Amino acid sequence: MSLFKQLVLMLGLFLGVILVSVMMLNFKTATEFVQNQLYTDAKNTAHSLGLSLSKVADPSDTSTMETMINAIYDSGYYQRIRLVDIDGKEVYNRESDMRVSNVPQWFIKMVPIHNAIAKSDIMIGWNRFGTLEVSGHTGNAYRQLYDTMIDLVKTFLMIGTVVFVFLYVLLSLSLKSLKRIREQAKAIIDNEFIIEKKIPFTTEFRSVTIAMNAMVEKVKDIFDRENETLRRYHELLYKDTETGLYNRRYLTAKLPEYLQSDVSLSSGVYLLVSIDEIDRFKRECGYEHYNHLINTLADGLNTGLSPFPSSLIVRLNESDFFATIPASGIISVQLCIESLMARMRTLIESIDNHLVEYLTIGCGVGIYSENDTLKSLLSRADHAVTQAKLQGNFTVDFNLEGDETLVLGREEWRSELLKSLDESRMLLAFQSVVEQRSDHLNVLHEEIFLRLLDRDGVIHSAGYFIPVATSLGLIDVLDRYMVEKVFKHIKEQNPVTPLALNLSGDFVKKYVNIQWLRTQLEIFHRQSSLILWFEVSNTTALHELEAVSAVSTMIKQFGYRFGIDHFTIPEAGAYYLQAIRPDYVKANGAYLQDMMFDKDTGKSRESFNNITRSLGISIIAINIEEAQDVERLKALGIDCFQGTYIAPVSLLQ
Amino acid sequence: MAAIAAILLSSPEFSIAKVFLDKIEKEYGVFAKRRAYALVSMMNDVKDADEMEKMEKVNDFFNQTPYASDKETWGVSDYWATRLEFIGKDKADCEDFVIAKYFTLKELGVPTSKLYMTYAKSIRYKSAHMVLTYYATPKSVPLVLDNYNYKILPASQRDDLIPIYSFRGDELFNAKQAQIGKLVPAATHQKRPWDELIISQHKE
Repeated sequence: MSLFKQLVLMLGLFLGVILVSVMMLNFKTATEFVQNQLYTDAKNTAHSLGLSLSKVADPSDTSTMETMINAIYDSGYYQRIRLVDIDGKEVYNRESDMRVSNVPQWFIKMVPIHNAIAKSDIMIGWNRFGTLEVSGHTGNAYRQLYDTMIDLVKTFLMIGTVVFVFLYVLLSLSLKSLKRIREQAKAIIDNEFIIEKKIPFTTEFRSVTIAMNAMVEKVKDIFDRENETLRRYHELLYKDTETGLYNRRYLTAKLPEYLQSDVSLSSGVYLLVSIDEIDRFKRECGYEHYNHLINTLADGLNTGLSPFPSSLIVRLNESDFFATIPASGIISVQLCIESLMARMRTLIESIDNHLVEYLTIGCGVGIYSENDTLKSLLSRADHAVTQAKLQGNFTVDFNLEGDETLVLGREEWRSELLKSLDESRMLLAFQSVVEQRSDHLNVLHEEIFLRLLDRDGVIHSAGYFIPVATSLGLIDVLDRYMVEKVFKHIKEQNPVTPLALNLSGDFVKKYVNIQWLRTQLEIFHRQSSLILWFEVSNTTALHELEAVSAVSTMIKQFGYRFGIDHFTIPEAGAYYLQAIRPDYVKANGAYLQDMMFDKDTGKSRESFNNITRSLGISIIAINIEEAQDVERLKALGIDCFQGTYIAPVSLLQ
Repeated sequence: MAAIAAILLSSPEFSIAKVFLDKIEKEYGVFAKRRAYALVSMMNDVKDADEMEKMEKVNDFFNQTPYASDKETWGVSDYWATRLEFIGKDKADCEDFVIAKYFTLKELGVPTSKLYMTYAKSIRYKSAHMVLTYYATPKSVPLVLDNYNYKILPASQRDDLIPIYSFRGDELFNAKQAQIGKLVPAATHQKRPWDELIISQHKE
């Protein structure tokens, strides 16, 4: 029971007791008053009637006295008027039953009114004739009292309500800060760090808030420091110092996200720019020219590819520059790359006309797909560059092979995709994610993938159709389809292992989709106790931060888990994790080894762990292909794995 | 032996506290103090006498006080003085005589059921009057204790008075109480100290 409720209850009780007591006292006073009034009235009547009767008292003829008594009795409100003589013998008596209209019987029973009899002596001259007894009618008294009670109850209810509402408002105002304190405390438990700017007025609350703020500040500080350490380490590890571009190591760590994820990055254009004899150039023309040359090339690539989101540019070695431009066709990059070549020529010629004789720049452009590996991609790129260089300096070789999937047949693709949904040719596949602790093996969840069964009976992985579906704007249709299909599967098969579903960026960024998912989950949540895990890619998390945070919060409300797939710490640092607050991240095994195996200080490992632990994030290593990956990662303290070595992707039957 | 028996049989002695006497002296003067003392000794004298003798003595004692209207004594048209005020002022009108006699007789053990206050018209003075009446039995002709006629006579011999109405003593005082106290009618919580001249009774 919250403090507020307790206080309200106490207040209500207190107020109730006070009001009821005051009401009862009031009622008691009224009862006494009415009773006294009754007696006084009776007494006044007894004396005035007694005085009148004394004038006409006649023991032999009582008719005049009777008439007078009748007159008074009938015109007033009396229960009894009785005349007895000196011997106690009744001379005359008028009496009526007590009949009380408009007053409930329980009230008469509950409230006793003592109806005292007023007496007066009747005289004949100096002698006593008898005694007159008068008692007033209690009915009148009861009616008065009952009306008084109703009035009292009404008034006190009104006063009680007004006072209660007033106190309630006051109380909620002063306890408002307590609610915020509670929220802050709860946030701390959830590893969420809120600084409460509004310091409460109440001293006790104030010190609590200040203390919590200080604590949060400290934790935030630690987070910031670790973040900075990690960012610097990242830069040192993955950045080329001369151009500021990423290096080959980064490509190795990052490429799996491009090739294997179910997002639209899995196919697109690659390009490789290679400069021959760069060492000689450096030797002969000096470092300054060399530096200018490679930076011009790097800047050219950066600006030229800036319109393409998610494009990745790396410097493989001194002379080779590589880029992937996902979800694009060769035509879209052709212009940019040709103008870059022209600029390079102008630059080199401006340094020395003779340079072009040995300083050869070639560029190979081609298409990559989800079937590529780093090795195959680089060898194809190498081949293309060699071709280009053979064709002459500053030549670009376009390898159009495999380009038709993207460029051609958009309408065919659309109808094929929609048909495959109709015909249930879109299949579910899964891959197990395990937790390995000493000899104990536990399946954490099964990650769900979509597979397309084409008309020829060939099964294609997501990379085959997702980029097209993205460019056709069909990706959220596919996501909804997947969610519905998974729910159907759970309903039919009733699996015990949790399932993990990937949500695409295009799905997440539309509010209607989140609303739709919430509705689906509400229904699902009532029907099944199976825990669901939801994932978005790192790229989505970075670019759709607000939407992803909303989805994460929504999903956690159901008690489900939320994670980030293909996690790498971006240049801006890990702050986005604070906003999204994922339960887990899936990171490439190679990347994790880079991050955690810091030969020099071991500091990056500590920082990485501090950041993830401070936010309560668990780490899952993915792309595990060999036994030794598992061993190495285990040595680094990671025990959740996913990859072909652990379990292959298989179709869900 | 006889003396001891007399003491044992006799009623307790009346007395008045010294503090109280001093108070009377301070407020009304030394003569008032003496009058109070005289009252106590008169009461002691008749404490074992019969009702008739008690009435005679009490009637005589109070009738020594001269009559004066309320207007004269208190400056208001109607004022019911307590016995203390009666003794203190040494002036009274008819109600004051009735009150003083009534409470003294009550203290002397005369049953209040026999004592009535009777409103009567005085034919001689052509004025509203009040007398204390004593009914030996409910049906008997009452005796009249008056401050005009000092002698106690049966009502049948008092042609100069026309009885109007009688009240039991206590009843009337309660009603008067209500008027004086400015209280709600018939409230009995607060009493005017009609017998505030505290005369205590104790065995010697």
